[in-house]
Amino acid sequence: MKKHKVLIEIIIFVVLLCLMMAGCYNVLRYKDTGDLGGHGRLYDNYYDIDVPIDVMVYGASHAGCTVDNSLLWKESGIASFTLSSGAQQAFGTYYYMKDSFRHNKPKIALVETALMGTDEPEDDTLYRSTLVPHFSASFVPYILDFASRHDLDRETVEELILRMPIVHSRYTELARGDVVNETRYSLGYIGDNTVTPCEPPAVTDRREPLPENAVYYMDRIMELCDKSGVQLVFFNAPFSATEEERALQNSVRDYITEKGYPYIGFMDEDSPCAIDYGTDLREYSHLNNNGAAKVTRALAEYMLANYELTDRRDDPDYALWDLHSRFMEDRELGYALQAAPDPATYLYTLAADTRGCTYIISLNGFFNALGDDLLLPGLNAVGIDAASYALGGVYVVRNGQIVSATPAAEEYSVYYAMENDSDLNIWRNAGDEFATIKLDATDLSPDKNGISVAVYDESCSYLIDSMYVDVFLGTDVRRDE
Amino acid sequence: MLFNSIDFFIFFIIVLLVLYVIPAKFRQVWLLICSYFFYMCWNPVFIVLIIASTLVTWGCALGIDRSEKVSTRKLLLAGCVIVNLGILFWFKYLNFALETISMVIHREISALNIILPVGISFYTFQALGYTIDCYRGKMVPEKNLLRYALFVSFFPQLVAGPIERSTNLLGQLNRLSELKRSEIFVPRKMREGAILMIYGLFIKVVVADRLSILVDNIFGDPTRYGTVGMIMAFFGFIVQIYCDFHGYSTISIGASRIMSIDLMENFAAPFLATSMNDLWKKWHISLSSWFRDYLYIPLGGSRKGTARKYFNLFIVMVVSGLWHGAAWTYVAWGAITGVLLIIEAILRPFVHRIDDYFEIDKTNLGFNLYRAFFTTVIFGFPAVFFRASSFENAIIFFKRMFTRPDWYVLSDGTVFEYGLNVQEMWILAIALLILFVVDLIRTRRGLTLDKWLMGQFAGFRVAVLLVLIFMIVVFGKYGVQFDSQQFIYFQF
Repeated sequence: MKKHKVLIEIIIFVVLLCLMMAGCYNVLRYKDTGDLGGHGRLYDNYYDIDVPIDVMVYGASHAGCTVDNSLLWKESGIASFTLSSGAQQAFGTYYYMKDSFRHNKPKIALVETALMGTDEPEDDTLYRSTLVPHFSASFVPYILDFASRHDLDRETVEELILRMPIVHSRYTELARGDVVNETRYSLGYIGDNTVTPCEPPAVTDRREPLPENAVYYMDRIMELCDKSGVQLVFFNAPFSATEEERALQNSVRDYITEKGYPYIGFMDEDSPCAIDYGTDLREYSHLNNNGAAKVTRALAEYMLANYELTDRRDDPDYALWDLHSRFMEDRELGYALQAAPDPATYLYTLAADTRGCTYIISLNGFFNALGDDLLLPGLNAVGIDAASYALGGVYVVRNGQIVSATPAAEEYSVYYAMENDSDLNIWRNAGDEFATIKLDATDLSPDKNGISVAVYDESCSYLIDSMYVDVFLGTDVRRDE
Repeated sequence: MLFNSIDFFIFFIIVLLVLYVIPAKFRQVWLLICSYFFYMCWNPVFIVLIIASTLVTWGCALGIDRSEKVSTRKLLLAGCVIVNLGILFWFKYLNFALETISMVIHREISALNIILPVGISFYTFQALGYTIDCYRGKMVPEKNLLRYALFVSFFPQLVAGPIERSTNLLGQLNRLSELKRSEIFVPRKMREGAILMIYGLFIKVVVADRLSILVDNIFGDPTRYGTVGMIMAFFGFIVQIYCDFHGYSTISIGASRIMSIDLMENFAAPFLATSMNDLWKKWHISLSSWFRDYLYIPLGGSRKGTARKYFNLFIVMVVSGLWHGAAWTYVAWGAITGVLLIIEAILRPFVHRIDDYFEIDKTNLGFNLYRAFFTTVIFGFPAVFFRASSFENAIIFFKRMFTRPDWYVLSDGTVFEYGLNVQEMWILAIALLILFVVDLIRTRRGLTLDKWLMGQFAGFRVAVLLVLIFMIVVFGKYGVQFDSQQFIYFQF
């Protein structure tokens, strides 16, 4: 009997230990691919998709900032997903591809080549390239092969395989996104409309020798796609490349074309689209939305001309792509709001958006000092009438209707349940000058005399914009850092 | 191969698995191979020194046993002591001696390029103790060289103790070839051993290595900190060294317990001791008892009058300081500690009279905690010399402690910029609370954590272990973000 008790205790201990370790790892593991493209739990989103994805995009941030998944969807009905990561090199692309093919084999794999010709596995790059995908049977052989090719010491290999020695220190930087997936809409591309005039890429016929490991992993990528029946297409996103970077790309292009694979060089003379380096880049290394749209359309044209792709736009199983498109529309709205020069224009811009976003409008303290003419017409346009304006307080507005409002009282506590299960709490205690507004973990509290507006899309769980006007600082639209 | 490494975990599993399956007659050979392998992971060349120490002490002990002439026995013992201490002197103290001579004669003497072998201070003392015990007739010399070699090099306690006695360990190791499998792998002992290993790892990677960040920052540049920083470093260092060494010893004892080998306890909640004398009976017990039996008593102990007793005590503490390191700061630490012990001994009767006058209940928890706090403070003062890189830095440390009051840093948040932010301080506070509770149980109930937990409800036991493992895995200072912190006592 005693032996049985001991055995039961040990079994319970082991089970609880495994559950605890799995739970800890799930919270602590790397989720953010760390590039300027898809953010949040991009890879988790990928694993959650249970419909065929026709086009997969791989590479470094150049890939994530170039191929606009929403544009491919809206204009051509192409279901695409971008699995890129910050500074991803050939070894990382190979592993992402190998791992992602277990879940879905696309018809076409688009591989961006900006960093294909490098082999500099610094810690952060290595971790994001190898530790973001979930643990699988192919992981250990891959790491052992990688370690032998890069002379990693045994301790590093052990830590990579076990993962916890690397990720456990993330307890210092845990955020809500580590527990809740806040970016379910993400397919990889989020874009940016910043315009930074840049120099065009250098022009050279020179070639830089390719590192042996870069060639090795490019070969593995080609082999993998051939074995899996995936059409492999390489492309080089345009950026303000230096002479050395162009020389390296020349070598990459030569190698790829020698191997018989298609390569589309958007910096080359035969580029299928013309990039204006004065308007199409967000900074020297990445395209903005203008540039991304041009390249994406060119890629779409190439794929539709050379491969058979299904138009999925009418398929209800592809709701995620509609959601992603909505998210991109939210981003456009955000840009328009940021460009609004004054509160009235801001409010009219909001009123013109009829997609049913939620506005949290707070009228605080001496907001009337701004004058009725400045705010009231715009507030009327979004759904706040003169009587509500006179009372002040916090209003939750959707589709031109006030769906929740704080009472005219010194103290109150109002809860509003969002459609996406987010919590909006608004409260004011006796003696508080301003209300406290919390949207889950995000603090939208105004803390200023004037008006504050938060624009939120419940279907995407995305805070599009948040601004305020402080009467003591004038009538300009301001934002916290 | 550090105890807080994946390599050791894999190594230990392999040791146990093979130990389980091999025939009984090969168990000692297997453990010897593992022990030598363990040592050679540090530096393969220095295995020669262990073998040399083993051969000399084994041979001398046999010679002592076989010889009937007293002079021969004394000669053999002297030779053994000279060879072992000679090895120790060469590798640990030669450069120190040259430096001291250089200082005295005001001429520069170049230091030799000598690497200190890991654990040399421990295994030479362990081997010497065996020979002395044989000389004294307390121990029958081991005729089997392999078995004796295992005693000297037994891997759990090879590089940082506890310094075991032959009367305790040799017999246990010898019986390995006679015991049944079920007598070696006893479920209860294995669970106790696992508890100890988990707890040892906890106080090492969660407490000691976390404190080292704070302590290293402040001791590294004391001129940037005031009173609060000095006090934090003062207590931080003594707790760090306690947890570092106690952690190692606990893992060592736990690993041995899994194989049903009982090593001596090395720390018995020293910071809850109510006097310096009591503290030194609970701190690094294996070393202090070694010095008591092989130095203090041969010097006369307390048998030759009070003055001689104090003198012997002083000598033992100075030698203890020197054992810890080849530098005058360690000697200073030992000397100051010796003086404090003497002062305490002198004042003890007066203190007792005061306690009796006020009818103080000496079993009262509050009173004991109050005494323990003062004892810890007194213990900590010479420890500053132990940690500081020089006398000058130690003096700077004390000066700043008393002349730079900056209590405001506790409220304006500056204190969280000393190396540990708010989050880290909270983790440390919780870990220290666990440490305090475990030590309190040891003091009040006389039970180590393994024994106490095995007497608790299973659900509670499982919960405690899961909490400790959680803290190790998530909050432990290990892995790629941290330099693997050597156990402090490895340098001795």
